[in-house]
Amino acid sequence: MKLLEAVDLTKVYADRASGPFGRSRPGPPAVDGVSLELRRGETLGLIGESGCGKSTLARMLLRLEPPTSGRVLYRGSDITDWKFGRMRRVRSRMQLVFQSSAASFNPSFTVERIVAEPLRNAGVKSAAERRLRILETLESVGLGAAYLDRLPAELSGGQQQRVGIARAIVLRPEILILDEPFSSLDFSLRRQAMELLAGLKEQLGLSYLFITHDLSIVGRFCDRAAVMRRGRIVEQRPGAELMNEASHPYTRMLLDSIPARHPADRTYRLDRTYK
Amino acid sequence: MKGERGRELLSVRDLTTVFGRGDSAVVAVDGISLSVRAGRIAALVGESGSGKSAAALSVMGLIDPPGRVEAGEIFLNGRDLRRRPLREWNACRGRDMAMIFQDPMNALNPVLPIGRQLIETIRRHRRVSGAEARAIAIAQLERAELHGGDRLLRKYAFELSGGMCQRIMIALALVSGAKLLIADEPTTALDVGVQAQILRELDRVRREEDVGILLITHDLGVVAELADEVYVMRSGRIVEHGEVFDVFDRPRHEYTRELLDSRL
Repeated sequence: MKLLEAVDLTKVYADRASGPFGRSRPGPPAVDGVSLELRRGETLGLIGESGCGKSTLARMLLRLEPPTSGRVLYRGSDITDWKFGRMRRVRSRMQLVFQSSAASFNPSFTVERIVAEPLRNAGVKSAAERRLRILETLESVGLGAAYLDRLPAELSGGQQQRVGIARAIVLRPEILILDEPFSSLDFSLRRQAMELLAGLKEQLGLSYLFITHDLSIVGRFCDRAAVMRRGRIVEQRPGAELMNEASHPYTRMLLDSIPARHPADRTYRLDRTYK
Repeated sequence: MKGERGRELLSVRDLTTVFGRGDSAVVAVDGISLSVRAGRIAALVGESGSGKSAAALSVMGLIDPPGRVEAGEIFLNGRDLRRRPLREWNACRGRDMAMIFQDPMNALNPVLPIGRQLIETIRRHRRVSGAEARAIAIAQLERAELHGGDRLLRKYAFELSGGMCQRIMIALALVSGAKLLIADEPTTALDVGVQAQILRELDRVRREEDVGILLITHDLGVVAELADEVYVMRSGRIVEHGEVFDVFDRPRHEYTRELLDSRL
């Protein structure tokens, strides 16, 4: 079943005006006619380098950014033009986990208040109920009641990321958009975070849109993967296939850029470029 | 400057660096020893907080009080910097050893064109005219395959991509003839494609210019790709040291094994 669908989505930002009185003209499209679907229970990888339009696409899917043209479908209904109030109910079904959770926290809020915010927004008025759901959620990301009164600055990077995940799942959404969720973490923490997300997906029946530039995790983490370049999707394949069977030269270049796992694998690979 | 490959550029012995005083003192670097040779890349690997950056800053003489290098020897080209006047240590910085950082955009001065920054650095260490310095700067950029000459010199950091900035930082670091380069997480903030460019550039300066590199990183992929030898650091200490193949094939320390296993 299709949970979320992009139909021919295009986003064009105005180019910088030339001079103080110059008229701004439309620039090159940040996202250029992309069609994509996220099915229930799957992890879809959206891969590309910075500036390729992957975050803009994600923002349009969440309706945080109006598309220049094209439609966004949620469970088959066209939500592209839905007004704020109507959108609100849908919003609680899709949540975001950011690259650096710490940067998305109010530094003076305690963990409890950070995780409580989506609940307040969704109209959970009873403080007791909020606390119960917060505790439950913190536990499911491996943090106990001891963390309720901590401030973000008192947490390690790995714990901050867990709080960011807790905030995203406290409303029990269907869809999580993970925007480079591992890149601010040390490598030993990356694996933990990845296992945590895989477990939660199973446990809560989530579907993931996983945005990354790191192809080395795609094979293990993604059911399907779409490679984006300059606003277009150049290749789409099952995640496990991508490593071995990628056919687009741009995907091959990205794959070749992954550092070796063992010094014996280093060759002239670094000399290959893609223009 | 050929024929000096393998010469020991940097030798650190029993270096200890402490931050804070009294009860709150923290030993960030706890008696480490390491060496870097010309034309070779030594990787210092560890997680955040392991003390690897503090070790690098200690070598550069850039630890701010109340932090201080408490004990140990830092030999640069055979001279113990800690036993020399501070003036001499300062003079070595840029001339004999240089450092690049994780975030190249912030390392460049945002309000000066990059050419001014290159020329200023050259003239600080060499007695040359402005025109000569400009020619040296352009030649240095050409060597790093940064073409565009004068036009590139007039650009500001914000007009360039992150990868471009980092390559300019490498050029800037080596423009005064420094043979020891300390690279602190040089590719961490960059995309994979750009990371490959920077790794290639570090490999080039090591091969063509016999620069010795102390590569500080938490990314074992970067180590596998580039390093000749590896120092694994944890809680201020070096827990394992060896040739890169030995460390990957036969890690001796439990922690190194954990690091290798934790890769995705």
